[in-house]
Amino acid sequence: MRNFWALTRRELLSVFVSPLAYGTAALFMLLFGLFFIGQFAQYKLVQLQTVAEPLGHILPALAAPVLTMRLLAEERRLGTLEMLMTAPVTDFEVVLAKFCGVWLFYASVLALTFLHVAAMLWCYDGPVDWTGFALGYAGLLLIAGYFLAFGLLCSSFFESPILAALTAFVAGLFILLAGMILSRPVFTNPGVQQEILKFMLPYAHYSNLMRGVLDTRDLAYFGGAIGYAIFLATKSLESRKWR
Amino acid sequence: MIEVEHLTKRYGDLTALDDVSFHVDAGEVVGFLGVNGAGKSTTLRILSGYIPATAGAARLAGRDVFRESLEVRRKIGYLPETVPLYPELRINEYLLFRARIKGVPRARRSSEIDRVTAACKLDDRRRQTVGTLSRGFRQRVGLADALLGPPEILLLDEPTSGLDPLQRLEVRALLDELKREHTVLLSTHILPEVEAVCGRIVILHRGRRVPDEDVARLRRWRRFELAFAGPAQEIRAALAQLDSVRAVLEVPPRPEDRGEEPPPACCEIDPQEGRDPRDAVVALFAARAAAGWKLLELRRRALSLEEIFARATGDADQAER
Repeated sequence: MRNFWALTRRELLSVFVSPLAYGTAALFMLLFGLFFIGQFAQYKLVQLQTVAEPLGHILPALAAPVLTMRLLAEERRLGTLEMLMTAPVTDFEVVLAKFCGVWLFYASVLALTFLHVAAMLWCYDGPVDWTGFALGYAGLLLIAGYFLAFGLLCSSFFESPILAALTAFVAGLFILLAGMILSRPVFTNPGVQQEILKFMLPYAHYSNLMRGVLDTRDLAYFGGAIGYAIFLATKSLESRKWR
Repeated sequence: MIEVEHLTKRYGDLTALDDVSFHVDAGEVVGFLGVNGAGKSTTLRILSGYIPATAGAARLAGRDVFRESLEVRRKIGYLPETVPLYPELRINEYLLFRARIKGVPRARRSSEIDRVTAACKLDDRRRQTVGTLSRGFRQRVGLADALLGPPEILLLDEPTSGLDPLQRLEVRALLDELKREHTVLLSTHILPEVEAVCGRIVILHRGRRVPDEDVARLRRWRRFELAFAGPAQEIRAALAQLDSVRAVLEVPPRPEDRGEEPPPACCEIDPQEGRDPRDAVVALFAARAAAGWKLLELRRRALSLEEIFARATGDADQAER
């Protein structure tokens, strides 16, 4: 556990000195702000869903490859993996710390959007659905965790961060579009295949949370998907021992 | 402290290590010698638990490097050949991170970092970003990292590569101090370094260990340098005829003879094993003094490690040139 914190702190330190991370954060805030103002002016709705749903889905899919590409690929390329793995830490601790580091970074960027929410509440004096907000933010965090874990997995396959980012980006785009297409009204009476596919993709689960619906299946889905990606990334890192 | 038994490592068809066995006792400093690609780094990577061996076993402090990898890793300080470091961190941030994951207790962390930065002469650079350091300083940071703990065993892969001669001397002095408290296995292809620091050497060549008997025999081997005046061709031929002489070797003109008129002729005698040809040489020159043969210098010397190394690894011509 002490190792895990030390490793996570190292990840956070590295991410907070990287211009790439600040660029991503700035872009995130810019887009969020634009969406926010657009939605606010149009609908005057006090719901996180309207403001953040499409953005919260698309942004992590685009940002995760950039945020995660270096995590393991760069360690391989620079050889720092050798230093890291010859210290008394397990492969799992390393992967988990990398994931948590980048997830915490994303969470801290997401926390900046509290400013928007505060501004919105300041102009509005009706009742507020706090549970909805909490679940909405949980949804934003979980969908980001999903794409970040996937990006980390891609990073574990390659020695080149660019290749890792490209793989994560293409796969992420596919997941993103497939999920959105399946949620279109055309599929209101879906067949079994569509149902299965819909369950496997994150969008429906995310969208439940954003609507303020708490369903343990959705939480289990994200927990399982993130856990599985971390497990696979650990195995991929361990593969140096049996390849 | 370090026991390596029949270690073999194959990468696909390439055999990087072939049935290598050796041991290092506690408190010993052993030099690991070999040209690039001889298998030194592979061995150190296996010992540090980074990659497993294809066959054979290695134990550090009585623990198997593969099955009890974490325990082994707690006991070692490892410096890889390329000294990989995170470029974005400052030296003190990096060392603090390393001290944490190496399990240095919180109360001792800052004194440990003080100790290793002082030992590696990094005190005044502690706030510098690692990415901006020169090769020599990176090497020192790597070494400081390896010393954190302090670990029982140090595995150092070419600790002086990339350093200038002055820094090399400093690292050698540091290693001299370290041998009091650590068991050290250090690899290098810079031979004077091993001579200066190590009590014992293990030579690897193409993944195999050169037997100790060969190394010991070659370390006892002596050569004899001659400088003389007279008919050079004739004298060399006569020297080669002596019983105790195996070969007479050409040597390049020596710098100290520059400007001498006429320049003295030089050669080197490689004796038959265990023989000392000096008396015979002196007698020969005395007998032919009337013909103008004059012995100017005769000196016995040990083989340099380059020569031992080249011979032991079968590259005899290189040694004899």
